[in-house]
Amino acid sequence: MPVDLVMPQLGLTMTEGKLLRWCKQVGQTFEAGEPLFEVETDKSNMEVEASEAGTLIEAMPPADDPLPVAHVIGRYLRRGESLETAAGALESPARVRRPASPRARAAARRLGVDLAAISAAGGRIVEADVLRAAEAQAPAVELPAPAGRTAPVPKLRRVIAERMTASFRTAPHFYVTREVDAGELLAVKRTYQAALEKRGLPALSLTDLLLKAVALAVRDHPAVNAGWVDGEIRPHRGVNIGLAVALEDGLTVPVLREVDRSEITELARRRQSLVERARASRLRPDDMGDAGATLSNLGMYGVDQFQAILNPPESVLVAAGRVRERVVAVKGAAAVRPTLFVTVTADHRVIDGVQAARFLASVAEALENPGLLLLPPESQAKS
Amino acid sequence: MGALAGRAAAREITFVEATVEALREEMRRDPAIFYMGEGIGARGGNFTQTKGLYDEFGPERVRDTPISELGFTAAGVGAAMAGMHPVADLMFADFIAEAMSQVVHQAAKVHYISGGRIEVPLIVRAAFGVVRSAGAHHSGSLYPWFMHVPGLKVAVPSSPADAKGLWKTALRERCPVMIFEHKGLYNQKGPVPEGEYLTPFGQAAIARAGRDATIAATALMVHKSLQAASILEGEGISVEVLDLRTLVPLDEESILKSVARTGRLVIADEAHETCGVGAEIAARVAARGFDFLDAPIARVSMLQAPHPFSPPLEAALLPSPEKIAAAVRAAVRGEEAHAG
Repeated sequence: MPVDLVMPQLGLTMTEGKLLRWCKQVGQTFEAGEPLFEVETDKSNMEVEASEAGTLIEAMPPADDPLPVAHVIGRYLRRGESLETAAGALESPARVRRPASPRARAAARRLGVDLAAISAAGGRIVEADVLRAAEAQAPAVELPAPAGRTAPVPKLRRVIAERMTASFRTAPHFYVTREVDAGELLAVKRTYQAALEKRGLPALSLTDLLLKAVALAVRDHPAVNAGWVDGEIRPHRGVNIGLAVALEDGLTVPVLREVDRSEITELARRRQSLVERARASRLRPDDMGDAGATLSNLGMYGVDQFQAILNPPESVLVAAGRVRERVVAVKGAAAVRPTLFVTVTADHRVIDGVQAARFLASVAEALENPGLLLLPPESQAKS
Repeated sequence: MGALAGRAAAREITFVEATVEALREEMRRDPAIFYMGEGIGARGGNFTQTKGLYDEFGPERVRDTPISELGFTAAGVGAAMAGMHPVADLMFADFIAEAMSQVVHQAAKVHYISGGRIEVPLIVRAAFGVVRSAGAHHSGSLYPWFMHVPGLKVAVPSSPADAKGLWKTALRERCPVMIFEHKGLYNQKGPVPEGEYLTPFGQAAIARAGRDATIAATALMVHKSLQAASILEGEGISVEVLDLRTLVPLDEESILKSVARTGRLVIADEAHETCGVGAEIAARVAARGFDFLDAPIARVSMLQAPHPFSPPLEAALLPSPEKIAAAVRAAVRGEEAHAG
């Protein structure tokens, strides 16, 4: 039996994607894990790998129009099957007319939605499916061209613009900031650096320690590990932390899973490979979505502190500035200490000020006592 | 609540008491009104549906008849043509079949064939529906027959207040009116306003407002539909229940408006399904509300078989809150509708 290849849902919020190219030609065989085709989502470009070995027998030509998630884009035969054995199945029409309710048809006419491009939850397309599709395909507002030179906005830029505007408009943001003593953090990093290098382990960066600190704080404050979705507070599963990664022409936020349970050198290795994949546009489906919080670290760019925009449906984002020596009061005297400013952005629909403050306090405590971050995960239970 | 606190608690009386009250008020108002039927005189009617009227209005206006539905219905047609306003009480609706020609060929048509010169302000009263497994001859819900005949009005009240208001309106009509009362409602109590009021024909009432589906219901099925709505509320399905109140005239506009809001329609009615109330409403909504529909229209009615004596079998054939809820659920979830 031929197996359908469909537009995958890469991340929680993806509703459609563009088929960019096929990595295999019709008739070619492939092994499990080999890239089959490349799609462009609202977040990035990704190669989708074969889940099993087979032969590609149908491939829809790549096009500029986005296709809804689950739309069939091609077919393959499993290894050991031939076209002859599957001939009967192939003769059935590739595209069955999807039933749609009269109300859905009326709505589609009114809103100019193509019913063929709609994915319905149930068997029959109903009005709600059309309204969802209409919302998804709502064109960006076309502004009159400003005087002077204009260049077409790249897709990534447009996606960032839309997502950040939607987030900033709908989520009531507020911010809490705290100055954190980084003396111990730098000491730990220095102490372990040489040891790690000697064992051929990847270098530990401040980002890794920050990731771990944020993850433990998210774990210990389940209330922040939830998002406001469709008028409900929806808890996120697991402690997954998004990491803002700068690209040449934009930004992407891939996700590290179960960070609270990841040993620090393992986390550093995963973080490095994730960032490499992000920069090479090679993120995998599992690299995106379902984060409980995002870490954005602009310290390496000389930023002291900043307030970031939430990455929905997350309710918190941790923005870290640079570690630098600052004059601080210690026991009634001026002292020079390395510190950094950490700012938590929170969605006030989900979290109130005190919760955000407590969450930030947990992050700060972990950063000021970084020994805890280096312990094996099973020893990092909340004290 | 604050506004109500100062008011006297609403008076509650039974459905049948409300109809007697309507008759008494109208008989006092209009000396042309008189009442005929079996055991409705000093006995006060099989269902106490004339209790006290004989004592007040006497044997001339509250007349016991032999068991001859044809005879007293025909007498009613003649009296109405002659200027009276008779009520012919058939007791069990099933026996209207005996008087069919008088209702269909005479009462319904005389006004038309006389060129508008002769009016037939006759009320035919009939107790219908299943109670206590009364079997194939005493359980029928035959009002759809009369939706088919031009020249008749048909009322199917569901509450004491509507029963009184519709009766009073019927007793002021100048055309034949069939009033079908579900036997299971007679002893149900409900608030009935004191003082004079009329309930207009052709105006459905929203018994419960909702978002996801409309149930159009008649008489006892209004109550079963409200129970179904409560079941569905627990599942997150919000149901609007429309009490049709009269079938002729039928409040097509209210049905269409409700379906335009909800996108789904289930018709709950105790009559047999084929050519029934649901069939008529489904056809009209399909014609004028096609673009409102997000799911096929479903009917929950008596299955197409005679009423059995066996209580379990009877229950299996009848519409129930569970069957109504199942039909709504299927419509909302986009499953194929299945027979009630």
